[in-house]
Amino acid sequence: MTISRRQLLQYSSGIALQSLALPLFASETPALKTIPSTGEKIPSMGMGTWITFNVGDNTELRDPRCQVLSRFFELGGRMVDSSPMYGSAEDVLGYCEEKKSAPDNYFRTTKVWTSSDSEGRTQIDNSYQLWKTNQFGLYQVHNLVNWKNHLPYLQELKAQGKIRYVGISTSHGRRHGDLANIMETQEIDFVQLTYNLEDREVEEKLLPLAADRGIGVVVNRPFRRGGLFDRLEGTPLPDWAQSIGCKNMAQIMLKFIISHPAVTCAIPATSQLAHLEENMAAQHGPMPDPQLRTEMINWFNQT
Amino acid sequence: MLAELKYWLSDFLPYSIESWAGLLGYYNLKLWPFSLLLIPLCVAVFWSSSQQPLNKKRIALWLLAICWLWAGVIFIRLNFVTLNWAASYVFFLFILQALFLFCYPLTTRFKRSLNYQKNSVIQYGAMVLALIAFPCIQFFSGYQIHQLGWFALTPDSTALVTLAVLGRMRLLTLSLILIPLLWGILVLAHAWPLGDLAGMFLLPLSVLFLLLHKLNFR
Repeated sequence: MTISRRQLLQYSSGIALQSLALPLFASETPALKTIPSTGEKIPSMGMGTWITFNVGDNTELRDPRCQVLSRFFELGGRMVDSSPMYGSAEDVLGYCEEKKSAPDNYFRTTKVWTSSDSEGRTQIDNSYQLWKTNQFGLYQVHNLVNWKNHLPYLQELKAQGKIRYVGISTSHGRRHGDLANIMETQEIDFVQLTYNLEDREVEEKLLPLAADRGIGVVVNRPFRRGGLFDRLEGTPLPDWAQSIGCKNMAQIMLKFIISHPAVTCAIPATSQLAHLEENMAAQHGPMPDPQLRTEMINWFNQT
Repeated sequence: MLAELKYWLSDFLPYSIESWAGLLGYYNLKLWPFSLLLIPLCVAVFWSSSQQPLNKKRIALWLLAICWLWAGVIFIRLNFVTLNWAASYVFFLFILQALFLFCYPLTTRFKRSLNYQKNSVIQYGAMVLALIAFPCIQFFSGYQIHQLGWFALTPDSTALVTLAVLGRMRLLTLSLILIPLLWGILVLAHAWPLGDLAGMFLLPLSVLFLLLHKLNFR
């Protein structure tokens, strides 16, 4: 095998960048957020696994995911979110854990997603086995499915120390009325919902309600599954981007989310190391103030 | 703002085309070299479907039934389910189709329909084309050699070859072609959001084979 000059340059610049990047992130403290129910601090950038970690049994595809996971923790990440709905994603995370790509104490987040009580318990048992853990950081009822029966069981597990926090998740802006009702009447630590520069309905009621009730907020679909990149394609970075240390659109989108006072953590999903590093860099440096957040919304609406 | 928040077809697919192609490749490599047994199987299906004695024609459909069982149980239920939980429901379609293919040769309608059978170059050509069409489209749309979906091993090619063989035997009865066509629709719904060009061709190809046989029998 021969290596071309271009490949050599790419390789050597990659090493140089890596050696520069790691100390840069390591020396800076990422934006930590407080989990309202306990006061525990957590980095504001987590990682989702929808699609990206669902690669079946194929080790050629599993191993690169383990590298992404490993790099996520190197860059200061803690919360990794998955679900039984995500195919093999939980199994792949367990595989990566066996390959020592994850620290023992990371913030494991998953969901129960079935309308049957008994199946829900089986699903929960299965998730413990797949993740190869005895304790989850956060366990959520996925898309509010059968929440009335699952939530008390999750609370039981929390009391037994098998779960540290419980929550409810939704996405795509669905069932916000029901979610608000649960937030007002149930003892939960977290909600997971969709929030991004385009989907901002949660600003009206759910985010203020979360702040008011002391409920942490995990944000899914920060890029609208890539749809926001499509919308912003060809749009130059705005002048104010530099003032908050944003070098690309992903960082603008993520900083907008995590700078909301009620948001605890955003969970962008990726299978690309380069994208992961861009995402993780968004939790460093200055955050937009309320005035700049308004400017970001105006800028986005005009694109 | 709420009106803009919608589920798209892509929101129901929890995997990427990379994972899908990776699954095909992984599955094919696991089966290799036993997949070479497909060659005599194809010959047996084609040969038995073109023979006049009724018993041999029955064998063609029963062999197809085995292929549907394999594609349904081994590929869909045991492998595809790792990517898509819905596969545990879809595989029942394959069991049902296998049942239809097994039972149909035992009916009197089967005997009657075979009286009108004729052999032609188009019939043979269509069967061979059905055998290679889908893997070829996959190859030219970017799949690697070991990721191609072959008749009897994977559902897409199995559905296409089944339609060609049924057409060849003039057995285009609704009970036998409904599930292969339905599969074409499901594959289209899966391929479109994935950006899987080959999958998008399955339904048009299936319809094309049906039309080809209809025209050839006039």
